[in-house]
Amino acid sequence: MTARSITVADVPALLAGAEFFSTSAAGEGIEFAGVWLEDILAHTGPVELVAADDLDPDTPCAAVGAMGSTVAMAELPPSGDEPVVLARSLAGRFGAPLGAVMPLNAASVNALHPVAAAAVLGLPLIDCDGMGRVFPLIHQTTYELAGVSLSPLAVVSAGHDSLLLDTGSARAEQIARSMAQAAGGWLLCGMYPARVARLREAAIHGSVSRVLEVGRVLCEHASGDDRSGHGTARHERLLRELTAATGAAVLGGGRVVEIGPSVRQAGTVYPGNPVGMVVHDHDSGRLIRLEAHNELVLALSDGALAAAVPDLLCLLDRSTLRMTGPERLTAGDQVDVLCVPAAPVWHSVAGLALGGPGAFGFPLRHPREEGR
Amino acid sequence: MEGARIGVRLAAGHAHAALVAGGEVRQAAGRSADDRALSRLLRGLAQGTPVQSVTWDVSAELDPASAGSPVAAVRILPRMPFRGLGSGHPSPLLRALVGRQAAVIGGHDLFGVELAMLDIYALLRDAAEAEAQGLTALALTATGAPGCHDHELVAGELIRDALPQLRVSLSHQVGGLGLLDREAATVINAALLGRAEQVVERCGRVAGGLGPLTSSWFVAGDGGRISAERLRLLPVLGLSATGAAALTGAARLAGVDDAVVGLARPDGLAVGHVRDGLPHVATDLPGPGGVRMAVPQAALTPISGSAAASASAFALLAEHDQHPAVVAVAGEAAGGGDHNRAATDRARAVAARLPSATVLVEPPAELAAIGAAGTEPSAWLDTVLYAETAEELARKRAVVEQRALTLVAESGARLGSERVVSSRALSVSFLRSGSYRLVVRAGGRAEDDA
Amino acid sequence: MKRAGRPAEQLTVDELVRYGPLGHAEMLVGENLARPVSRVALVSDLDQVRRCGPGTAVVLTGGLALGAWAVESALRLAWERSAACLVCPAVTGLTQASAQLARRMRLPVFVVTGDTAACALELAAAIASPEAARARLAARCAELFAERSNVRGIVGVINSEVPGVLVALVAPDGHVLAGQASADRAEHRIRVDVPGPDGRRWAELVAAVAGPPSPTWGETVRLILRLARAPLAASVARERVDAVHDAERGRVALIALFAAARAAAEPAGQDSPGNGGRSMPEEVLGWRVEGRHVAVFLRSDTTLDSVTASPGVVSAWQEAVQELPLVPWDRGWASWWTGDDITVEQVVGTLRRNLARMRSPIPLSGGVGRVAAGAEGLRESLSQAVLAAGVTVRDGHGTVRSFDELGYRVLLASLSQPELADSARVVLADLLSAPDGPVLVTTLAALLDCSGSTSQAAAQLGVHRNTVLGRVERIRARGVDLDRPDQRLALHLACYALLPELS
Repeated sequence: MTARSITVADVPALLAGAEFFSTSAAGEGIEFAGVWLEDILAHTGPVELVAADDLDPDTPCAAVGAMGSTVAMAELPPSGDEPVVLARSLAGRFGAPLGAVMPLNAASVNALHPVAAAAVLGLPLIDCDGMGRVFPLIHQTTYELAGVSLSPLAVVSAGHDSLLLDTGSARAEQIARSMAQAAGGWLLCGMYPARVARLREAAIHGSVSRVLEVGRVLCEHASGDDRSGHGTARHERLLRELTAATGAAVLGGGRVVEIGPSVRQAGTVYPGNPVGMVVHDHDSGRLIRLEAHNELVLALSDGALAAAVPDLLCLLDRSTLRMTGPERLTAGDQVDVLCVPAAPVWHSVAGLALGGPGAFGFPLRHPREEGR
Repeated sequence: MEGARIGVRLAAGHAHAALVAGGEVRQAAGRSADDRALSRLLRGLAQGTPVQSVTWDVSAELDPASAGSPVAAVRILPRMPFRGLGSGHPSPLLRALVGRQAAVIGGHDLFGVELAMLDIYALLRDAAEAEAQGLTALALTATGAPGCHDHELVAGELIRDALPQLRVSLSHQVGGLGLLDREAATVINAALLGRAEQVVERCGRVAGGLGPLTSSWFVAGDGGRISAERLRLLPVLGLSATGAAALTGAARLAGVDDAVVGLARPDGLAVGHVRDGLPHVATDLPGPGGVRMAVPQAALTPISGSAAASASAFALLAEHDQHPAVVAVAGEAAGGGDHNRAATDRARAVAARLPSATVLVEPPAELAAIGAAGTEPSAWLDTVLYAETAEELARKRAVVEQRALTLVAESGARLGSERVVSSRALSVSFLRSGSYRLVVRAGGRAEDDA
Repeated sequence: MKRAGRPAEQLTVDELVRYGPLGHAEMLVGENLARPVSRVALVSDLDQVRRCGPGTAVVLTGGLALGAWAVESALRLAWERSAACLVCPAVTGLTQASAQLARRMRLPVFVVTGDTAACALELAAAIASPEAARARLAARCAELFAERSNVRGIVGVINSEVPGVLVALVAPDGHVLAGQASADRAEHRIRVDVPGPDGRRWAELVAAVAGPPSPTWGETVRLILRLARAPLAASVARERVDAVHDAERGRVALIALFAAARAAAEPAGQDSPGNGGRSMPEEVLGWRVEGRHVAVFLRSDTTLDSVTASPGVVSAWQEAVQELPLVPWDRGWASWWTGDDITVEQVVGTLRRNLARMRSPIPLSGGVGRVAAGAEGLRESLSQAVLAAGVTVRDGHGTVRSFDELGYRVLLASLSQPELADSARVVLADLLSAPDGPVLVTTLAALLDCSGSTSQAAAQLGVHRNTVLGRVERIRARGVDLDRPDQRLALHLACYALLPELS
């Protein structure tokens, strides 16, 4: 791994990769953040992307990420100095200024926020994250699994209402969420303040690089240069390259035969509304049912559990060769269903308890638990 | 020949016109430099037939890169941007059109809760400075305007009152979610206000020359048609109309309401879909100069390369589509030289690769002009609402749908012909349960339709 | 003897639907209903489905009503375990895709509103003792039999309530009196005799079962058929009594009607007390007396017991011609069509069609009168119809002739009175003494009907002309001279007098 930096030119790939790892549902409408980040990087210059091991283990660092709705954020974009407010709050606790930031999760809009924060604060960005995907709750992280405390949680809204919350992880989550609701729909959060040494066990390493790599594959195809061929060949090549880059499996692909609100008594901890959809697999004739609650949570193939959180489920739109999600789909559209295995730590007993189907209100055993 | 309609595409000093009456199509083309030549062209086309309507595709006339004049962009946000970060736009087009960028305090959240009081003094100061700078138009974009447009309305009123010479575009009239995209659309809209006025007046004048009963309309980017008044206020709606008109024309000539359509051009194939007689549209497509705008436009996927390559790609798409495939020559008017022959050859090559059910359309006039003649009133609304119960959602949804139908009626739809074409309520991720984004499309039949 | 353990004795899903607890459930997918159900499992978590054995009816508790995905998961697991069916609570999220999946797996799915646990208990009870469940079915049928008042209703109860069984009521001659005709042709049949009101075998109930029935199931079906016998006999008797009663009322009413008409036609007549009677048939029986009528008269061979057959004839008529009365009259049955534009030809055609459709216990032929108005006219028309019918008797069942068509020949047909017949036997003794005497008399009558034309006579008799020529030779050889005009009428009369007893 060479020393890298993230420049304006990397933003399209970062955006496309962020969309891929958003597990479809949360990727809706994050393009605005690309425009926004490009403008910031154009002003501040590139951001240095470093491995945790390359930093002084004593460096104070914190995770940066937004909670709330991307639609709300697109309508009310950050004014730019939110990270400054967070860094100031957290530095007060450390008794020292932050030396680096890392992503809460390198996916969806939260793949971009830490880059913007590092740029505005002039700090290096650590190439890791705490989810490797999108989870609905900010304490569903490998940081949490490793015992790094979420709080003190520094939050700031688009209207610059700011708060430093000192409480347990779940409580912090709840309080911050109701604040997000009242303060314009989203909050930027600084959390999991720690020394870099703690990240060795607590983080998923190389996440940001992986987002960029997958993003480049997607961008290459989206540019649609003639070399890539047409139709089936191009679509199959993209699938091949995506599976190679992410270790993903293709669960199936075909026409969306059903999509709409899903009736289910999921836990009320989650904001948003459950959505269900069914894809008729073109080759096998199987029915792939997908359940989404903000993100895609599980996939049943002819009623048999084929994939579930914490593994990532992604939808590729065959007609545009872009990642897509239930919010953008209607019955009749053609999609491929991909499953990307989550980081190994998520398949531990504690990992599945925090981010497995049960955590989403599904009384199911994760496919990896079978026979355990 | 009752109910003859004329469609005209204006581009690069030329006019391509088609007259459609019942099953008959006539065509004419010529220079459009002066009004007299244009009037002569249309009269020659009509040959004394009473013409009900002339519908203009003026998207080329409204190209923001050439026709736009710089404007002041004013955002209304609860907080000033930090060191100006994040307010720039990467598009050269937009940077060229924004002569002055400013922000004032104010705005609402998506559900209509006021985030900050509108700073009217800063607003008037900015507007006055813009005018002093020589700018003639101002684009006003308030955060949360799709949920509550009070601040935009107040700001617009204040500016018109204090600076009557300054034209103002309000983002909620342009519509769409997402501040940046909506602002881009509003800026382009404001930049085109001057040109739009000229174009609308000219088109009205020429159409009026055909007789007192001939009305004048404009093709919108979503494939519907809008009134002169609406285009004058919202020229951005008239952009990218040519592709939409061509899709509509292809489906009409093929005699189908639903189709996957391949528009054969000399340099490639553009694939779009027609549903219920209207082109399939999207709001997240790059518009003029690659700028994403929160305005619906016909979704056309380009397939470049040789005729054989585009044919096999289209064959694959058509095979997976449940609707019939239509291939149409979308060059200029029939018999229009090498340029057109290349498009025709491509269309035939593509059609030859497809199943026999495929319809090959070789239009007797320019496809977009034929499509323009046949456009029908339409409207598009994209908004957010909050409903705790299904009943509440249905009620609020009905209100929005009614608003869309009213817009259709205002575009000259025959009373009772207005209908909701599609209405989608999508739950919004990571907002409290019960938050929905509602996208409504409505259409109708034109009053003059015999 | 405990039989529940034997697979053949198990209830099928279909049976549970027809008379078990699943009858109240909505059937979302109705594939593969013939599978036997061995046990019931009430599951509150998906893992429990994995432990179900083949043939299990899997019932999901409300706690598992977590949406379409949960039902589909259960569906899949149930299918893997070869379950017999899946019962789930009314989950609003259940979709077309779920139903499609179930159809592909050929697994029946039922949706129950309310508590599925209650449904599971009922299922368990039914499955634990199929005999009890079947006894309940029999009891339910018996209950429904009692509510039905006619043969068709009773047979219908079996066809609608007993799963997989088609039943028909078949007369000894193979005629299907009610129910599904196909039942009598099925491979596996169960038969039970049905006695008539007189206690003698009157018909047979035939039940077709799909496949060879298990012993208990066969017993159940037989039990239900037996249960149907008494109500069937009762309803047959009731129908006959009703028919006779109605017919007798009709006869009295018709007599009264004609009497009143005659009284009205003779103004000099006594002060008619029949005026009150005249309105009776119209009001009580719903007859139309005013307007233009065409009367018809049905009769049978005199040698048959038409009195005994009368109820059967009347009910057969009512089955075929619902809107018109059939009244016993003279030696046959009378009826009439009424209408402003009615013609004799129409009535002849209609009557002919109806006679062909009627399931009459005895052969019938019909005469049709002229068009006439009012009650008095009806009486005349009926007299004409009676005469015309007399001619038809020798032509066999289904023949219809009109008074107009026959002309004066009707007179000849009415001459078969005993003394005239005796004289005729003497006059034609030579002819009758021939080996084929009756044939020769019939041929002679036909020849005289046709003014001596052998070809016409051959056509009327339905034989070849040469046959007729041969018979003419034999007739002449017996001393009968066909060519003497002074003899011809007498000969014709003599033939007609003998015809009724010869046919």
